[in-house]
Amino acid sequence: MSLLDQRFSTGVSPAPSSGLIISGGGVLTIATDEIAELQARCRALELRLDELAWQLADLAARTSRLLAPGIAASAFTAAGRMARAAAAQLGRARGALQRAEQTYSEAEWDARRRASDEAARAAYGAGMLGALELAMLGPGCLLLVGAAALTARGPLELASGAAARWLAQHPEALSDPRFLVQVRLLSDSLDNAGRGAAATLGSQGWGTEDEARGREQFAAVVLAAASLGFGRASTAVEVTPIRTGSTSAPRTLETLASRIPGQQLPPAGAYAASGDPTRGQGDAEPSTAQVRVDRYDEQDGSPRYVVYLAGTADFSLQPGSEPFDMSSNLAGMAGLDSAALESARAAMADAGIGANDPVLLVGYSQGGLLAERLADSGEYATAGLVTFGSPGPGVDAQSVPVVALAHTDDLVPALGGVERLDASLDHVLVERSALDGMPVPEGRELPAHDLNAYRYTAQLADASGESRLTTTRTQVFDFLKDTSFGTSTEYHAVRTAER
Amino acid sequence: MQFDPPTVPASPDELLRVRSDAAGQARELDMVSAELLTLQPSAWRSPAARAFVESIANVAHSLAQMDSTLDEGIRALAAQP
Repeated sequence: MSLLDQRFSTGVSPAPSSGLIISGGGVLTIATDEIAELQARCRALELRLDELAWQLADLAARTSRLLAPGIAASAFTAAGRMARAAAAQLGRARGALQRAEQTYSEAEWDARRRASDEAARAAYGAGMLGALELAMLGPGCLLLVGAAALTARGPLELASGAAARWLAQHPEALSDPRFLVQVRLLSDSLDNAGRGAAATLGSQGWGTEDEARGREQFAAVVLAAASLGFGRASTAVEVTPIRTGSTSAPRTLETLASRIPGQQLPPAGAYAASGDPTRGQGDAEPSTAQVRVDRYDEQDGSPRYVVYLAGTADFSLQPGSEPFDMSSNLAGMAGLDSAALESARAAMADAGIGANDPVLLVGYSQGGLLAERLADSGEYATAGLVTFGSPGPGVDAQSVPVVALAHTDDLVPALGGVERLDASLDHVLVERSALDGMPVPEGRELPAHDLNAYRYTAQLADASGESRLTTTRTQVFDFLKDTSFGTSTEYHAVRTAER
Repeated sequence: MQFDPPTVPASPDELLRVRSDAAGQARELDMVSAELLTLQPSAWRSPAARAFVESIANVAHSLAQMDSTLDEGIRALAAQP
């Protein structure tokens, strides 16, 4: 098994240094898991040296009782003093680690802020220039744009075909962190490009200084173009429960990742570790479910729910029967309702989730975006949110504990822009490079977006002792602490015609 | 070989226990020293990281001195009749 396969497979013990980068949690520092681990190990050694100092002092006293003051007793006394001094020196070394963490954070925040400001200025200029050209070319250009929009299917197909060919030849491009930084900046600068164009045209139409809103407006424009070419995607769905069984309460992030529906299941027995008797046991086919709802009852009978939302299953722009498709992705990024969002709502309603029932939302990829939308909707009593590779911008709800896992070489979370890195109060962002400089495996366009890669990162996050991550992880799982077993229902959703 | 004269007639058992404890503490010191040498930052480079590495080197030097001092005490104990 290659090193890459090991990283992407599950059941591999985390390496001593996991390469996790943790931010958020209400503190403006970015801790690498390595610094946190070094601090913890320094502290442990300090305690051992302190203990040794006490033991040597005791040894010196016992030796003095047995023998006249001499070489042995004074040597033990001196060694004890040295142990105490060494422990104090280690304390100073820990101080150096804290300074290193602070310096790293300041440099990182500064670099991100400067890059974001420069991208914003460039996008504003590009927007003005584009609008100026449009104005100079006049009505003829507008006619051309109109004609192109009316036949959007042709250009979209041409563009997507050319992009697919180029990506097949350069699979590494989409996993290059340098490229993905540009994607994040571009995503954040869409509002500035719109404002630049609006300023030139003397219009207040765009008029937003909010990066997330700018991204939503851009996604809405792309969705409108796709609708012109392929037809408007219906948001009506039919949701059917396809499997029920018993399950155990999740206690780790890795277990949450392993229960997301729609993934190829590992060999029989692999689920034993995650305590999920409803899955595995030789299942080789990917589940066709897109939503899974688990119910756990407290001793007084009050229910608690965990909702798992799958990623995109159909990457075509042509809306079909699959609600978890690209049109739902675009609608989600535009802040609009989608067939996928309606599927989640319908499954939650079928499972009997009421407005006041505590629910933990878990989503992968598009499922993460949906989970964020549901948490921000206020329709549910969201007790926690865990996302893996979500393209969403994060959530506004401050009181909800959030753990977001994102690979720095994954294109999908990069679409959420830079500000999703600025995880705020109670929201912890765990980042890691999935490939870590290794070549992109053949035939895998987005290997860093692989759910198995996220399962491995989840294992590392479970093992991490970083304080913010530990606190938020505990908050996420605390709402299930008095439960052990529950029932699990998987739902399959199909898009139907608008009623 | 120098040795410390007994103040009171030491029981052989007690002397054995002191020797055994001293040897145990020397082993613990060896383990702490070995663990200390694994504290090396790899993923980041900065003046503060260099200061950390220098601090660890100082601690390792102190522990080496402590080891020889402790060893001296253990040898003095072993020389007891």
